[in-house]
Amino acid sequence: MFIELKDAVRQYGSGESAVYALHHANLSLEQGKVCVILGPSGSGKSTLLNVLGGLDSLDAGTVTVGGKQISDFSGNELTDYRREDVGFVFQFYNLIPDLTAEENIAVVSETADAPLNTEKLLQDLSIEKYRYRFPKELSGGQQQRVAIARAMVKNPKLLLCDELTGALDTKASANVLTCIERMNQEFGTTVLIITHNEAIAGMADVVVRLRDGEVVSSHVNADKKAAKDLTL
Amino acid sequence: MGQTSKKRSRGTLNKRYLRSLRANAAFYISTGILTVVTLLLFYLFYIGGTGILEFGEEFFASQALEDANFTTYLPISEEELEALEEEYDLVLEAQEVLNITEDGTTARIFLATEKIDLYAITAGKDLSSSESEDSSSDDEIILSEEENSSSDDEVILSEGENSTSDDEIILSEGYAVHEGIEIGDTISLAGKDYRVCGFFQRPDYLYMLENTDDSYKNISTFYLAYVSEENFESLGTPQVTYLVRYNKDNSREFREAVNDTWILQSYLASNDNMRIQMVDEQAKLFLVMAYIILVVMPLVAVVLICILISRKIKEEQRLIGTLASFGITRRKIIAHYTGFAALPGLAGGVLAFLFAFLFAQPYGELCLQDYEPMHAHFHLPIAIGLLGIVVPTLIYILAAAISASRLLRAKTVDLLSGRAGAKNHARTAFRRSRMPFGAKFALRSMLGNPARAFAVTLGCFLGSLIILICFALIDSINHVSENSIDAIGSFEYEYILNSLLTEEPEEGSPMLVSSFETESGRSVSFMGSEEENPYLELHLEDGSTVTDMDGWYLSSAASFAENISAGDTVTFLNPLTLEETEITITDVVEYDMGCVLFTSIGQMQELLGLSEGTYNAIMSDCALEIDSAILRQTIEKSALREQCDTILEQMGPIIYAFVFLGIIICIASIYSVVNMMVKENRGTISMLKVLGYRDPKINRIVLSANHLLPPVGILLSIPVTFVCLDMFWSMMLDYDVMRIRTYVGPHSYLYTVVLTLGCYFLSVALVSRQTRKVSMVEALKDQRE
Repeated sequence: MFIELKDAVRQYGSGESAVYALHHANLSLEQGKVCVILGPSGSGKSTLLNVLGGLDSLDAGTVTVGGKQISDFSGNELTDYRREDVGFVFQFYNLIPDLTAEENIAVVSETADAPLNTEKLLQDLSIEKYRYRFPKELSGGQQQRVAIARAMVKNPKLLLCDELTGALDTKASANVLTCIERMNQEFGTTVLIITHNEAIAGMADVVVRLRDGEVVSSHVNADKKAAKDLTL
Repeated sequence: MGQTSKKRSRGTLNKRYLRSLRANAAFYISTGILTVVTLLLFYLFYIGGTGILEFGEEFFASQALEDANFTTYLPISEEELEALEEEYDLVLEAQEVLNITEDGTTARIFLATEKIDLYAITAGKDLSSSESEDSSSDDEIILSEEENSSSDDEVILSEGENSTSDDEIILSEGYAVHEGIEIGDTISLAGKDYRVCGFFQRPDYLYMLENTDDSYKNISTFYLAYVSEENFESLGTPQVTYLVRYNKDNSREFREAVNDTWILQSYLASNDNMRIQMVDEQAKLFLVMAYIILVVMPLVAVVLICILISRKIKEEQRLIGTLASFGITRRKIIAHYTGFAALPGLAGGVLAFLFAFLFAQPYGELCLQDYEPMHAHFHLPIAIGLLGIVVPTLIYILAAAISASRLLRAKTVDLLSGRAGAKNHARTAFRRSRMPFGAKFALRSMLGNPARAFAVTLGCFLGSLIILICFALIDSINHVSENSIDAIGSFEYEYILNSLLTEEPEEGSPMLVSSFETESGRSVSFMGSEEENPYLELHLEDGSTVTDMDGWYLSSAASFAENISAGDTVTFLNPLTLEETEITITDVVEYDMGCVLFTSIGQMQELLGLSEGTYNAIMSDCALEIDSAILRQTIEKSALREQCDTILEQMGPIIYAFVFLGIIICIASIYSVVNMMVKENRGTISMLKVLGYRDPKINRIVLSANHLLPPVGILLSIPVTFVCLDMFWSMMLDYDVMRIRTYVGPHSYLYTVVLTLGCYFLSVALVSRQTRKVSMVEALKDQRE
């Protein structure tokens, strides 16, 4: 398995006020698949994504990604892991405001061992004409495509997307999801999307449901659709 | 009811002040430190200035300070003195004095006076008297302040009637303290041992100049002393100086009368006597500095406050919009934000006030470096303490109010949506440049935050300025000592005689010297020299040597002080005869150690109406044996060097304290601003962490934004240092005879650069720990919210 989460516990606070963001959660995912994780607010989706991305640590349990048990990693090892293996796409894009679109991508490509061709990425994502624009000069959809380019330029093994269409309209959402789908198909990147939007589950190979920090269901999507065919 | 709810609402909002302390700790600490430093400096100079002025006024009155002293070529008898007193309604007294120089140290021994310039015992006891049983009693001897349990004001009076005990001596306190002499010690004078029974101060020697035209006190090779009358007589033939206190404004008539009968040799009014004038003048200078510091020094804190308030308002624009939508007026919101600025002003003010109030005495004594150890009482008046708290606080509040009102002009709708604030085009510069993104990020960050850049530059500038000024002070004085003292020849001694002689001296070159005054009242020494004087060599400003002494050559110090150039015709007043003389200056010669007009001895004889061959001074390159009965004053070049060394020795601790102050200002301002950068770039820092950047690399990207600014601050401080010091030396020339030119040695530039950059990088290093604390998860959550 490419991703293996075993008996994962992440707790905030202690004693009676303790809140479990992850409560003995288990998850497995093969390489190259698209996994959509659904769940209501507070179900632990973001915590799961943070743990898989090496942003947060577990209180108990283990997490293995691509054969690396990242739950045992030191701070520096986690930094290397994030730099080499993981790409992030966030709901509010999190682009660096003082850098242009192209420079935001360069922030990652300059540190990657074998970066993808930035020109090609810009073309593939149809943002080459916005390369000299600053984030505030771009629409939400354009910003999110820049964020996808930034995440993909290092050719990560795992792409983690946190509510990536949450701030976009229907058309922009479809556009962005199509981009993600193309990245998955072209580079074989494992994609993990967390969302409230049930419709996005249609493009997933695997659909996981979370509630109160527990994985309540995980099934293979037999009726997988292309992103452009989703009814968002 | 409505009023009550309004008040409660405002009070609730104000709870944020204390709750924000932790979040804005760096700001409060930095501005608090800057406030404390500012106020401590203000209080120091205020306490010092007022304490010295008050002490001087009281001491001068109680010790019957002279209005003038003079010497005459013909002696004035006791009867003649009494007659003059009666005729001109004044107090007149002869002061007998003799100088004894042994092993390079000069003792000036006085015979006690009864009416004018009375000495005061400051430690130990006065000389024992055998003239009367009463006056020899220890109980009658007035002790120093420390030993006197009564009021502080009851300092010490000696009527000078007790001078017959043998083997006892009292010394000027500054020398005794400097040399580690204690009461009970024995010192040797003219082959006889004396037991030190006390220390004293004289009102005309609080600023201990050996000669009145010296530049700085000498407490290492010069002291005053009193011995018994018997011992005084055994020490040699004394000089007589006459001391006068006027009761009426009739000094001119009196001087003319004295000159007509006894021929004035010298006349020095107390307001021209640097030993006396420096007490008040320096105290007044301290007060001027105190008020300048109070207004100028809070500038750095003001800039920091403006930045913080702007940032806080920008951060909280949604909250402000919400408050505005509730109907809270703009004025109230501004008032709320000014409260944040008032906190460091009040806290710093109270802390500094408490310190200065509780430790006023030792603190004020720091200002006494240049004087005899005055037993002045230093205190901080409550009103000045309150002024110190109120002024910076008001300045901070005003700065915050202006900053807040500018930002709160935005529409409520824009505030609610977080879109308020002017567009900054600098943040989008270099978009097509091929520079590395890190460099572009840094440049945009710097240009996009002009206030922040200004604060860093100002902090570095002020720090560098203070440090460089301190080093330049030392360098300039050293430079004078090394270069100017020997600028006019190889002579080492100049003997000023109290008689006019005509016989050729056995050794040395005869001179005729006399003091004149310019129209502005500055004293200029006229020095007539023989053409063939081997010890005097004058150089013009172009470097050429003066070969013809028959001109009138003004020293560069006098030329600068009086703004006189070659070719100018100047009116000089002879203070003895009160006659005016017009002289056309032939050229200016390089000599910064005094205000002197050089000419030939012949021209001087003609000017003073003296016959050919007359002289009253001898110049020599070695020590001469001159009868002390005809010797009025000995000027040694080594003493000038000694003065420069003493200035540096006395000023050293203060100078290095100011260097430390510069470092504090630098670090406090830079740390605060750089700390803000971390807060402002929290999102970027967390994103760079998410993208796999390590902390050192993130620090290099985010915190390098201001790296260009410290060199700018340092470079700006160099010309300003020269301007400030040139002004300072100019001002000092009004009190002093020596012209000091600003000089900064290469090592001082190096120290300044190293210290300023060191402060900057230390501040950055301290702040860099903050980037480690930025939590990726929390920052991402904040952005989501």
